[in-house]
Amino acid sequence: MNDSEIIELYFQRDESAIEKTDAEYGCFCRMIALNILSIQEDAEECINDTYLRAWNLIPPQKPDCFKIWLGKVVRNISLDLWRKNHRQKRYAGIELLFDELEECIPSQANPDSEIEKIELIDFLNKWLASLSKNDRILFMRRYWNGEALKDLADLYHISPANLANRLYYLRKKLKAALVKEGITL
Amino acid sequence: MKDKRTEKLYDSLTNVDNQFIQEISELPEIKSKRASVWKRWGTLTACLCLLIAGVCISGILPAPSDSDTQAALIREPGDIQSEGTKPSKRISISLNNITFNELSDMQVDASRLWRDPDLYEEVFWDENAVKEYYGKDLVPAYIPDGLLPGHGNGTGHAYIQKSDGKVIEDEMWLNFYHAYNDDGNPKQTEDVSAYKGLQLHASRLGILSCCLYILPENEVKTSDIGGISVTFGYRPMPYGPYDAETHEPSGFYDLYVAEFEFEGIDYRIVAEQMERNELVKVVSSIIFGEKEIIVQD
Repeated sequence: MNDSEIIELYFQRDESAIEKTDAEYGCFCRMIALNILSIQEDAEECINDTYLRAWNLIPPQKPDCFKIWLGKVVRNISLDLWRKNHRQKRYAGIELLFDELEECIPSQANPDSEIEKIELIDFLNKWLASLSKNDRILFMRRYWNGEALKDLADLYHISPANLANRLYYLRKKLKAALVKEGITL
Repeated sequence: MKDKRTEKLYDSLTNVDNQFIQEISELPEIKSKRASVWKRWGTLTACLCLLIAGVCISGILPAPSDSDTQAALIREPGDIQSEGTKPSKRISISLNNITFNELSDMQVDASRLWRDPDLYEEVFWDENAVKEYYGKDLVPAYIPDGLLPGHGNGTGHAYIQKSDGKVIEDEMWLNFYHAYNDDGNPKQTEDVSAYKGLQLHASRLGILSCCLYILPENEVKTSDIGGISVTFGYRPMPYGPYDAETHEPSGFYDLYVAEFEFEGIDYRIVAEQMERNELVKVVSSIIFGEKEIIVQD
């Protein structure tokens, strides 16, 4: 079943929309949630919340690309769950991603000049576009999909240490670009 | 709590252009590879069978006589000898002839050069490509018991000059640690928050970073192993957690380094929480190509 047929089911308020969504994109959503939270039960909770949100938002929303739309929802819900629970639970996935991304943050020269989120997204779009396709895919797989270093190293047929090195350069590159643009987060 | 700014960066990344997400969502998803219980038990059983077979065979074959062992031991300072005519050589090294220079820091200039992608191409080498480039397998003949090869050992990446295809950066490294995390990185030991094992670096073009010794460069002593000049270093490394008030570390562990050039390849081996004789054995096994090394105190 293609995206428009699934979305049509949502518009018809047909509950099989959830089932079809799960059949088509369940693995994709689980991969993202599990990579971020690393706890199976919490990842499942995220998936259920994602489907509920899809049910509540479609209609009126009509996503152009359903898979990406779902991916963004899963990431947001996972982040919300982390915010809610991280004092009680240690979510290894996102904690590790945060540890790594922390290296990209320039020192806060002027807290009053914080960049707006929308501007930051615009900056990230430009920065990602400036990367080679290979580097961009690697960066996105790690920090958007949250895929594990070991899995990515397998995929690229290199050692995890080499891969970690490549990601380190990319984080440094992002930091340098933020500094160059005088962006304060 | 994590820095709010990191959270903001992560959150903003969620909403980047769909085209970038599309690029990765079109790729095949990586299935997590978890060995089944049967696979794990099967491996364990196979290991056990090998162990039992090993014990049986060693019980059948005669143990080397004292005279055999004695013949391989060379007790003169700096003198190392191998038994060329025997199928399994035993090399003997005396620690009395090895000088460990005190290190003040490790890899002081470890910052990497940025390579302009217009001029240089980053290439990934699989095991065959690495062997072809180095003309040999970089894995030492001797690896101390209890250390496991890192995932992806023997592979690496290099930079090639686009104009003439010349390799301009070729450093490879291999890990041998006591345990690894799920992401493939070495695991720290439970009692000492540090790695336990070895990391081997190799380069034909020269290792870019260097170790800093306490002594001036011209006073750093080298040790002779099989005619190869090896620089050994030592540093007691502090490990955390650190005392909140005095900033004293929880303790110190041993870090040893060996640097040498052999057959046109620059080597550096860093050993953490290992006995120094183990590092000497590893270095000797590279130079002699033998795994049976005896190190005498």
